[in-house]
Amino acid sequence: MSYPLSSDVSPSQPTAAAQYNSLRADALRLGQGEADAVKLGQFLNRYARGVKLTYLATNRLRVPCATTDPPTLMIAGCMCQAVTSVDLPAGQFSGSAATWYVFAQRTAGNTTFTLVINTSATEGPDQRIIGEADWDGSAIIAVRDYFTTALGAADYNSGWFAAASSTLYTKAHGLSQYPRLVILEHSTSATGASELLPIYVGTDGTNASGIFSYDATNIYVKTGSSGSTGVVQNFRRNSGGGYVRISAWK
Amino acid sequence: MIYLIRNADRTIKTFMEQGADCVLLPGETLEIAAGTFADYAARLRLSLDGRSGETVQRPAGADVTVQVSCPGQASVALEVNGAAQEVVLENGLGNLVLSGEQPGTFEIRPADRTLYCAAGEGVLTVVIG
Repeated sequence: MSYPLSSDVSPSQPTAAAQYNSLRADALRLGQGEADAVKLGQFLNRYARGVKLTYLATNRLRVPCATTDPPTLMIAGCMCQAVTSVDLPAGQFSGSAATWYVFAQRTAGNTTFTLVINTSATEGPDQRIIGEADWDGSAIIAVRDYFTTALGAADYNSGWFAAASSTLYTKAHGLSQYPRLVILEHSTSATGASELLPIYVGTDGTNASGIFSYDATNIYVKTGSSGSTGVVQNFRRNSGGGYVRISAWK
Repeated sequence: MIYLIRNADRTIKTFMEQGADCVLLPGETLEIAAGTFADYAARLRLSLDGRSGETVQRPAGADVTVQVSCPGQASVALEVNGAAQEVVLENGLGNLVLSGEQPGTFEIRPADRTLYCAAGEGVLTVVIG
């Protein structure tokens, strides 16, 4: 289907029903048929970007405003955007320890929003839930921002392999580019069911050194020569054996 | 399936959950074996007070007893700091006693590394002192 469906009309030309309907279809569904596209308002109903709930003080929260990416979100079908940081006023938390839910609240006649909290997670008519905060009875002890993008699954995962000191392991990561992030984990269990250590260094018994590197094709793990700390040296534990798993993201 | 890399001398370099991504060094070979990764890891397990796959430290003084698990075997040949030592097993389990008198390090690994991999839980380092 071509887009847009509607076309310009000349000043003297009467507007036909077809022209009106094409214009309406463009506005509501970018020219697509009802069977193929939801309405634009519905599509953007849960839209949000630039909204980050942060701790401000013992009983206050803030959604900071960056002029390059201002807090913008749809609340009850209204496109709201803050032009300055939005703060939760003091004195809103009360009572004993509980989880409080944080909402962006719109007000008729205003294009920005305010913050309100409630111990219920249910959104009110002009509210959009954006996060939660744990209250211990006197202060905020944790803040969870619902719009923080979680780290996705690794693009490459080596699975566990048995490791030893003084050994080079080369793994083809298959990303066809340099990975942007590589982590190595150490487990004492073949199933990975132990406390996992991120591996930063192994040693030769005297000097500690990083043990991995990568290029656009491979990840290289070269363990140190120490039987005690060649694979991992960490205040939690040391090892010249155990199991290693590599994860990489592009 | 289990994927093994053997060194040029046929000793087992490592065993892995997956093999398609491994890049072999000159002389190395890739083998595929039946079974699970956990089962393969359990073929030889050296531990001290239930701890394996990590370096274990003990104060000098009393002797230290390393538990050896090698299911289905009557004995297993190990190396302790390069010296051969045979451990007799009963129902696949046995003990290796190390002197704890003097501070020092014991590095224990299988003697026949074409049969058992000297990595994972098949190696154990005990630091005395």
